[in-house]
Amino acid sequence: MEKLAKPIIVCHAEQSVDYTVFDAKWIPCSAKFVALGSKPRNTGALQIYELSAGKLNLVKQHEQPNPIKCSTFKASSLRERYLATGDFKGRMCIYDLEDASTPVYKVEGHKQIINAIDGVGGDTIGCGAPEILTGSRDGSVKVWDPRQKDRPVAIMEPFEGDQRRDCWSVAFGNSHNNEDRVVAAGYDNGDVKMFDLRAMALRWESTLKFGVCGLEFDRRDIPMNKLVATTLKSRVYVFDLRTQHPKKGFSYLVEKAHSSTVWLVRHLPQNRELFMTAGGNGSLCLWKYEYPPKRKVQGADGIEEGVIGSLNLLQNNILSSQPISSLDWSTDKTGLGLITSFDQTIRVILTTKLNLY
Amino acid sequence: MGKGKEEDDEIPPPKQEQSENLLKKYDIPVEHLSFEYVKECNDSKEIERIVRILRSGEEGCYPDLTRCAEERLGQLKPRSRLLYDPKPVTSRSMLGPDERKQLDSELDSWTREMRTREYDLEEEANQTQRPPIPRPAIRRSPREPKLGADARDEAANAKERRRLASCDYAAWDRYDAETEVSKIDLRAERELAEAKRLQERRKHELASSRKEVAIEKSLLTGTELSVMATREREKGNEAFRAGDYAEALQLYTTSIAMDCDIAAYNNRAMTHIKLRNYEKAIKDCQTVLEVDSMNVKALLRRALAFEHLEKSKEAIKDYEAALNVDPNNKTAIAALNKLKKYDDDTDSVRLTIEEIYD
Repeated sequence: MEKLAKPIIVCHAEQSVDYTVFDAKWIPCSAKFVALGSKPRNTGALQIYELSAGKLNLVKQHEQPNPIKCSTFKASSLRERYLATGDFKGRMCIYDLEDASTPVYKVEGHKQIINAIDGVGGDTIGCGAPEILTGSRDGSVKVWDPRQKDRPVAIMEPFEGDQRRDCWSVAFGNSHNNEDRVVAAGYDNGDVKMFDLRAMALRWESTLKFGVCGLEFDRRDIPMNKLVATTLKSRVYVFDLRTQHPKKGFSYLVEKAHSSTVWLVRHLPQNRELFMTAGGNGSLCLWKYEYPPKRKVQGADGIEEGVIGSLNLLQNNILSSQPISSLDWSTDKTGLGLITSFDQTIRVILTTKLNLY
Repeated sequence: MGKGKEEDDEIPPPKQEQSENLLKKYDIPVEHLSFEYVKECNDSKEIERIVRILRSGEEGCYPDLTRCAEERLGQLKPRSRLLYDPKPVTSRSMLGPDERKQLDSELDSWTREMRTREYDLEEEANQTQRPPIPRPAIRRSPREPKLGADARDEAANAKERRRLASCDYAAWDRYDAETEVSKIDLRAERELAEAKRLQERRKHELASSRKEVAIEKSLLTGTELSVMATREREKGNEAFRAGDYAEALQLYTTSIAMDCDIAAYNNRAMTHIKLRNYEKAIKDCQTVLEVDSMNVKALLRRALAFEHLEKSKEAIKDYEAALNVDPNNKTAIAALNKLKKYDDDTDSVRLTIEEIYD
């Protein structure tokens, strides 16, 4: 019975492309997605595909001046569905996909490549202003409001003269009302920092063993609950964020998986306890987080400390021979995922039986 | 899976250049590599070793036996690292024809649904010139927070200032070790109190931020509202499963305010039962039953709420109604049996009481 209920990852459709594809995202409320990357001539690719009858049909494409690294729809409302992108030259652009030839918003945000982008507040009400978060090789993390031209609304970077670390991953979280919001950033030396945007202060920091490639809160728009960080050398960290101990910080667990770099983590939009990690050997791991019987304990000194649960590996599959560059779950269909990898292929996967968990 | 540390209780993988084979190394007799032994073996460590030996191919290649040993290991120790070995992803051609057909039709109907939803979304947006959705003001940062730990630097500077030079004898004469120690204790105490206050404040802030969100329905289109309501409900389900009932209640309420869906009412009723607001749970169930009088979940939940309020007559009525719709419902049958028995008991008790007072 247990065996039967195990989710199965089915590769539903494949499409090879003639460029290095870095990112692909489902367009909200549609069966279409946008694929982004770098063309051989060092220009950017932006393509829109539609899933129909088991095939991927190219709807339209636009060549962009710079290779594009990352993108998000999360800062845009459902009626607009604008795509925010970060490119190799450090520019952050927002595109209206109806006419993606020129961006509707453009800013030279960073001096070097934007490695990671995240958005929040677009498709929700009462969860704060729409904002875009970018992290770059130049060591700075910036928050942008699409309503404000040219200037970021917040910058988080080291002091003048301090060493600048390459920022590899960023994530928004704790945005459960109009005021509260935190930003998490992961760096190449294993640092993870969490900034409170309301207090404009560092809330928490930690140093993991290896560079932090992937970072995601289980939900952006709830009181922060869990944070997953994935690193070089096949480590997956899960932090319980409900209880912060003044000295010990957040309680956490470590798992070893993928036997290579764990590039990224994505939580299922329909169930925050399920998430998938993707590795440098082209493998996918589907995990389920199990809560402990009690999520916090009170120490002898009266200070509360969080208790971490455990991870259960539900499925482990090899998808491609090359590293996986991006993964995106559809918010409209449980288990429908979009995966790009460095073998220049876009794949649509369907994970079955997720509703049983 | 250690708490805060990496735990490696598994057997270290064998080194390549080892001359002795695994069978010798683990000291397992070759007879143990059989279906009979593997199926009966209850030692997860030994099974792990057998799987390693079989996978290594040193004793020959036995795919069926290997699979059997892996299955046994899955039963004994489902979280064994050995089972983490990735398998190739399932492709469409590997599925049975029925499964494939089912998946294809599921996705086809989904793509059609998405096309209509997208069309609706665009139509609604074009039809009426709606004002933009009100958003909180643009953030204005008073100062740029720095990554560098300025607080840490300040503390280090302060320490530097307080430190006595070893040749400063006058200062050392004035130095009183006991007062310094008590100062340190005092500081530790103050820090502890400060930390406690911070935790309390965070809890309080979280609780006070749980207020209802005012939703201007007129500013949003029907499709937008229904999509948002579904997401809120899903978030509510997550909170409910994690046991955060107060949070779940708030999320369901927001979902209901966006789009009156009976599923959200049904879920909120269950949350109310968990929070012991039985009257409110009954009200939510009634809302569902007004729309769909045959809704088994709502009937069962109302019955449960009645049961908690000790209105067994009403509870029995609801359980019976639920059984009319779904005659094999186990919850209803069990509850009904329990209630009827209890009811008989209370009747007899009540009778005796009446006798006394009459």
